[in-house]
Amino acid sequence: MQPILAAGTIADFFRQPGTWYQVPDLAATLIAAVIHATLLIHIFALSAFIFIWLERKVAGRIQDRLGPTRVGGKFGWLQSLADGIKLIQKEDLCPSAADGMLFRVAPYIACAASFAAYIVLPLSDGWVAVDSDIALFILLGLLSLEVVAIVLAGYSSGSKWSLFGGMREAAQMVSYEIPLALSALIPIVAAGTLNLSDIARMQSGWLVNWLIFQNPFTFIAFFVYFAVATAECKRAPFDLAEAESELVGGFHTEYSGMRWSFFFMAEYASMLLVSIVASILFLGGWNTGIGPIDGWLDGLRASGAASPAGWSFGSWFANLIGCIITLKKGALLVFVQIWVRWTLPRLRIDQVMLTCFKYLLPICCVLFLGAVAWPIVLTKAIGRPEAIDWKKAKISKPLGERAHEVRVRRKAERAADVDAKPATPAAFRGEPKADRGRVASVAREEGAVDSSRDVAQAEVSR
Amino acid sequence: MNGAALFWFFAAVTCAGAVAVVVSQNVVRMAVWLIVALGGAAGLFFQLSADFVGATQLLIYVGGTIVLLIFGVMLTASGPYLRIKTSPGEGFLAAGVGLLFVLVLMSTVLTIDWNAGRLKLAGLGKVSADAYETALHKEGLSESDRTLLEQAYQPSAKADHAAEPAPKSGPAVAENPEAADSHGSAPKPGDVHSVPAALAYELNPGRRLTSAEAARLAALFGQEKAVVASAMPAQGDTIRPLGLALAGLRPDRDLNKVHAKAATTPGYLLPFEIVSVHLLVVLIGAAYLARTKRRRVEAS
Amino acid sequence: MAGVDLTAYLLVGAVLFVCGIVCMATKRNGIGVLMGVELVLNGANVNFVAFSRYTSLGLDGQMMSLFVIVLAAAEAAIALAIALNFYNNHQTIDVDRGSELQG
Repeated sequence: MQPILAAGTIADFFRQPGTWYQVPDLAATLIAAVIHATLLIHIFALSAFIFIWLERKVAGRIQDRLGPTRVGGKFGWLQSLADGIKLIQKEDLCPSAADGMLFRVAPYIACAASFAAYIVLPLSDGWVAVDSDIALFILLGLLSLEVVAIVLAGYSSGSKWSLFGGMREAAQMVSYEIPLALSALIPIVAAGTLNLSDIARMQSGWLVNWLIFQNPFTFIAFFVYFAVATAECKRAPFDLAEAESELVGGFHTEYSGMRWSFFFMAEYASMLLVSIVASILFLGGWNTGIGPIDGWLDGLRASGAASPAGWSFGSWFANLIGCIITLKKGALLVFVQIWVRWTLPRLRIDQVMLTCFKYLLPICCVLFLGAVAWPIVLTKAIGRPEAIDWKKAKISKPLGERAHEVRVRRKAERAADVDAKPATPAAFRGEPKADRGRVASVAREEGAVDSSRDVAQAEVSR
Repeated sequence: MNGAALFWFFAAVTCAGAVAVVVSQNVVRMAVWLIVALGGAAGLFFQLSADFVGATQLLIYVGGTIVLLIFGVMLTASGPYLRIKTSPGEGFLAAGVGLLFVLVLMSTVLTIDWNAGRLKLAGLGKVSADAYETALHKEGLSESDRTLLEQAYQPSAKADHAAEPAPKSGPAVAENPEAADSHGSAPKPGDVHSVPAALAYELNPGRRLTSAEAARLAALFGQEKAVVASAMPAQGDTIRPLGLALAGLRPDRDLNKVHAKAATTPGYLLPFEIVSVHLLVVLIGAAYLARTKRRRVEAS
Repeated sequence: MAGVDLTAYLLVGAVLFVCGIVCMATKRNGIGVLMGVELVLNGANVNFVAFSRYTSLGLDGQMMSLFVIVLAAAEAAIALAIALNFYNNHQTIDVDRGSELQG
């Protein structure tokens, strides 16, 4: 049988020799690029479409109003479309004091930068345009390009408000990139890879497998990351660059029509982007957090990959569910960002810088050191040095894979333990008032190999 | 094929951006063109399967350094859209000198045959007649390979390397100064005829080899690994090799015969430490230099 | 990679290098001079990475280019601080005005 779809990528599909759809190499690359870009543009544009409506609705509810109600039925869910049509009709102004070329090109740079960052973002297992080994690093690099656009817009508008907005943005972004990278590094330390797909795959299973519950440092790091990411998207309370109550509109004071809306598309897209990254780094990516369901979905994916066609309807369905879950988690975090915006007052610029350098940066450094030291200390403390046995472990394997192997091994051992002495838990249950020392002594009497672990287990089972 | 197309695209973007940096007068426009040039260079890095370097370029250069530069422009501009013009004379002079300079560099780059150099390093700059004949009369040699062999090698003008062992046994031929000598002198047709049965064959300087041809030649002489540039992954994924290289392990060299002993090196930990301390000192220094100074009220 | 070879990358590096040199020589704006330096360093980087791909230099080339990028960032920070200081003292960024030491 001709393996029709046994292609690693769309480009590979069009390169398969001896098929009627085989095209030249360059054309295959271009076709794959166009398909990927089209899919991503839909996510990009639709997310902005939905989140702008959500923002207005949430703002309305928080301020005890109704928000948009008329366009498109009861909830006004077509409000964004109406806004878009209005914006397209508006005149595209370019002030005479502006530097024309830069003024015109800045919104496109903003849009292109946050769009480009979607290239390495996995939405589900294998549903990613470029599955890079350094995906997170590339993503942060591309995201930082958006700043350039904001600064350029502020400078080239030829207006004092815009210039102030641009300068604030430059100062804020250059500072906040440091804690952003550091706080994203903390789950990376736990996972041992920068590949976002691998990180998400690693977190399959019950909720405790999510990296946010990996250790106390990743737990705190999630909140730090979320705060810094909010600042990176210049959302309130860090929206100093636009600050409509002090700077009229900040960097977009002079913009109108479509160019103005491009900035907002970029903003909402990068909000979704950092939220999805947060969900992949901390909240399990496309995994549900319920062990059996994840196992079932992973099984569907694996069987699809093993089949001669390279995919099956089951694996496609599992990936679709995964994609929906990823987007849902991202959208939830975006909702929190919107909620924060309409709840908290804006900081002053000096407070913004103070927050960054005096609080977030030291916190990130401490968390980073803690996350590095944690596995070593923990394995020493519970007396299982094989968890970091460097001699047995292959160096080529990432730390996360090794940790995962250890976890699997430990689970198997625990299962074997339970099978070996099924009466023990029942005995504990029969003695509700047994104190710690008693339990420990019981455990020791049982002739356990590793007494300290058994104490821990006994306490858990109590 | 598509690698070549992408290369030409990124090369054009990079060069155009660099030229535009020189030509434009407004500093912020220069910064924008610099972004274009550096972004194109990052694309070239990705093309060279150096994905980590490319991403670092994007993150540090384009996202960090340039924003800092534009910030500096804003802090030091005494008026909107500041232009400090160069005098036309200076401009013409610089353009002339620059053009001359680029021609010199280009002619240098184009004169050196990098692929032949790799063959010579692998000890295939000069091969004994035996080895050459064996390779030429191997069974199943395709017509294109035969032509390649005939074109790439010519009988050596000096036949004093008859006792040279087959290239498999030693890479010492390239270091031989006489080999370099005979390579430097132009091949005279008379010489070829005066030595009817050549005892050694050397690379023909008139035939420029592509890297694929060089690799093919090395394969014909049974030395594939000597000319394989390095065992680096072809499709990026350089972050783990780079991390190991930092610690002194060289996964890219294990497969390379020439560097078999160099699979472990001192590594880059000490330079890395020095650079980080340097960065810290620089940051403190920059903060000290740029701090606001109270300007005294001056008379003039 | 038909048709593209080490030579092509070296030519791009040469163009970047020369553009940087010309930029450093002609620009009178201090920050413009700094941009010229960045271009020169990038020309060197392109060469390093190209050599690391096409010759037996291996990862050393990429390592060098990483160090160059980091040092360039440090250099930009310090040069910017100098430029700010210069501006504080001269009320301009024109490097031709910094001629007190000419005697």
